[in-house]
Amino acid sequence: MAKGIGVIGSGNWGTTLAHLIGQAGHPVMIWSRNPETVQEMNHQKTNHTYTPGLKISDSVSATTVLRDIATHCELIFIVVPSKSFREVANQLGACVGGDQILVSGTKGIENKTFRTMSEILKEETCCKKVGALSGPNIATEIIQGDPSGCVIASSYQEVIDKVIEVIQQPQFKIYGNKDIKGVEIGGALKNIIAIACGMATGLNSGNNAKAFLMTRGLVEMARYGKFLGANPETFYGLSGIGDLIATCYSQHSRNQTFGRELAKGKTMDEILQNIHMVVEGVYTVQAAHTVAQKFNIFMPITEGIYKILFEHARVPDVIKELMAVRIKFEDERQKDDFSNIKHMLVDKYPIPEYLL
Amino acid sequence: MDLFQFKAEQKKLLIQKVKERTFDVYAQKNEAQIEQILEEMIYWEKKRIQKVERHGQRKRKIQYWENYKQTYLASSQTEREALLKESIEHYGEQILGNFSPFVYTLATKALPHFLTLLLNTLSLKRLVTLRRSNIHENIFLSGHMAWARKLSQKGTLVFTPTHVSNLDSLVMGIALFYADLPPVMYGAGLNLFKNKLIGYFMNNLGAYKVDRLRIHPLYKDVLKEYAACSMELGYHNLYFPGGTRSRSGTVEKRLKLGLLGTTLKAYVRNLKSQKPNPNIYIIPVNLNSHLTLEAETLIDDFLAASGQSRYIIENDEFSKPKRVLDYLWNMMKLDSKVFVHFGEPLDPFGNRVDEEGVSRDAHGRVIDISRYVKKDGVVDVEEDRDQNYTKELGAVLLDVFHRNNRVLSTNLVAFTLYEMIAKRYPDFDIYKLLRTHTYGEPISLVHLYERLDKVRALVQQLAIQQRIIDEDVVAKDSQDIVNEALKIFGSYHNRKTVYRVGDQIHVGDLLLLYYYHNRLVGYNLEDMMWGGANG
Repeated sequence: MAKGIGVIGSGNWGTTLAHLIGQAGHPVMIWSRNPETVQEMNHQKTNHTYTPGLKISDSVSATTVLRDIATHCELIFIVVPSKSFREVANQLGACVGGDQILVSGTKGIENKTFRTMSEILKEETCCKKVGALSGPNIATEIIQGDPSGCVIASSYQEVIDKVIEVIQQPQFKIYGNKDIKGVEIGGALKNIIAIACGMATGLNSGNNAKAFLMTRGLVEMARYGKFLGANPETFYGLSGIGDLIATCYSQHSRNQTFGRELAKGKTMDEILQNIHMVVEGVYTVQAAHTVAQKFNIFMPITEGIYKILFEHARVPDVIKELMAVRIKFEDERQKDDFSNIKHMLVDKYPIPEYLL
Repeated sequence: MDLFQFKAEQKKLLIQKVKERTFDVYAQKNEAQIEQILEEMIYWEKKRIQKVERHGQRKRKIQYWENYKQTYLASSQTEREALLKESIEHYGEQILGNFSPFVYTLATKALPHFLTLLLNTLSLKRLVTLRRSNIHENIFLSGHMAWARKLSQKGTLVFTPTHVSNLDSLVMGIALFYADLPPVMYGAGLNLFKNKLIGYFMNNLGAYKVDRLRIHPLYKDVLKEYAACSMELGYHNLYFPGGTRSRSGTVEKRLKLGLLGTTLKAYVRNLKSQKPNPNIYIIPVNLNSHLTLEAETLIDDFLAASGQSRYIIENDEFSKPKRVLDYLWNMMKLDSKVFVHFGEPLDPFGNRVDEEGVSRDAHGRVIDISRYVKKDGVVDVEEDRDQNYTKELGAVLLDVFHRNNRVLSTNLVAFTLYEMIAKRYPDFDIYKLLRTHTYGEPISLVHLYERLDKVRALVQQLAIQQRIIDEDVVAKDSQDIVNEALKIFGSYHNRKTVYRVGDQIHVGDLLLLYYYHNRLVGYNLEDMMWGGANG
């Protein structure tokens, strides 16, 4: 049986991950669609487009053939954009077996199906042992060797143990979590709150406003997660609040930048044309908003961002609406004057996936 | 091996296997853990005796366990192991079922005719009109029976039906026979054996005895091993993965994973011993009926325990012959029917299985399932991993149970009516609603038809997406559905569920209405019927 480690996707995070694992002394095979990138990684040991300046570990070898990874690796990380995640997972599904471990390194919720990445892995392959790697992982800082931590989530202990074994190193601490749903939803929804925080920065609103948005944003994320069967406490970990803080304060965050530009009065299309990169929050807000509407989940910040992006609402109007929400208590358990729970006895939670 | 070969020697072999397998697991445990297991057994056995035994018997049996306790306290480690082995064997013997081909033939050939005759004679109307019907005419079979038949030649079948009534095992027995599927071993609560006639048949038709009052770990482990070992020996099995009858009337929302996990256990053992046909196939079965025999007791119990079902109900309708007869009579009048739907077979990991017994992924690609349980190429047991696999199977089964749920007129009308009433009091839960509705106003037929049309349209949409089965109501209009449901509701229950006065519908028993309504909960219909985002 194959013993290697594979990374599918040679973007910023995929390359960093492969380098980290290689640096820890494990042979890694990385897949890229682009033959030139493969050539560059194999011969110059660099990936100048996504990780400029990084000298990639010698233990990393690159390939354009997906089957090579499926044949030789017992643990495979999939780190491709959420838009092409299903397609790649499907191709992988044709050549993997049930003893292999698949871990998603991508944060996002698929539009239309509202599936998380690990759910897509389960739908597109026969593998059951899947996991999700998440947390505040700003690649540039990890490459610099700054101390950092992330979380590996899976209901399978074997997945958690294996990932910790191959990635953990002195400057990079990994925690395990059994609540994969909570970890993935946290990683995806934090991008929406980052857009909101970017707007607050753009409007020079100060730290109070940012802290206000982040904390209430976190509650909103946890509420959404709970509805889908996640443990709300997961959102107070690295993949929730940890990732949220890093994204909302990082100058490099695309979602934050997007929010700042919005605050300056630019339209969504104008900003996206200038950024030239995927802003995951824009897709996630559509998915989350649809689910929230469908199942009556109270998500005022998400709704506000959605209205600004897709219904041409004015920013001051949205802020006014946000400040006027009818909630008195911070604690969700306090009886408030709104209630989404109609059928107390027949438990509606968690909502089954096929209803999404 | 089929049940026709389940004779003295095979029984001995099964008990021996149960004993070995259970003890193998315990042999891994340390001294303190073994002590705890024995102590828990003594404690719970005494409690059980106090609860169920009559005075004279009680004293004697308590004394037995007192003596046992003394022996245990004075025993050495080796003697404790011997005590453990003895207890395992004792429980194994108690659980052991029997199968008599003679009784099987009698039950399948003669009994239906007898029942038919008996019930037809009871119905004067039927005698006058000379309209006769057979008991099995009222049990409608559908789904993938041929598929299951084929698989029974390629591996061991495990039928996993939904569960609402004590009659379910009887219905399943008849259904398997008429579907030309082999007889199965199944676990049945001791209380079911109390009914002498039914007990006799169960005793001889492969039922093994489950004493639900024995709640200590040793007994539960022996019970699970019994199921796993019988599968390992190739006997087809049946168990209700919900563990107990659905108290609220909903389709199962959670399953007993311990029992479900026996399928994987048996599969891994078959692989290890390199059996030619190691596969275990799970056949999900949906049981739907217009009426439930014990509806009144079940829903009362559900409310009393706020959703936490008391594990066992001693005096329900099942123990009252008149009620059982009334129920069966109803079926004979062709008013109330039972539907048995055999779902697509699954493997112990929740993957679909084709007609050749090969597992396939969602895209139809072949899966080598032995790889799931291999580590470095070797078949291996790993508790955490295997429990997770069973969870995956459980999730798939829950999904299948909802997809193969059949919409019947009684459920559809109860659902619509209950939601219309609940809508009047948006902040009320069922308790408050029950108290308030005593003075509730009737609902006009016109409004009911209107709302029913909406619900039917939504159900139809779900059926097109294969999320529910609506064959029984799709061709009928709202008026027919309401008439049918009113007729059926009026025919059996002691408490008047719903009735019509002029062009008004009165709800006589909101609780029963709630019970029948619950069968359609879990599809978000309750939000969509009022024109929610997706409605």
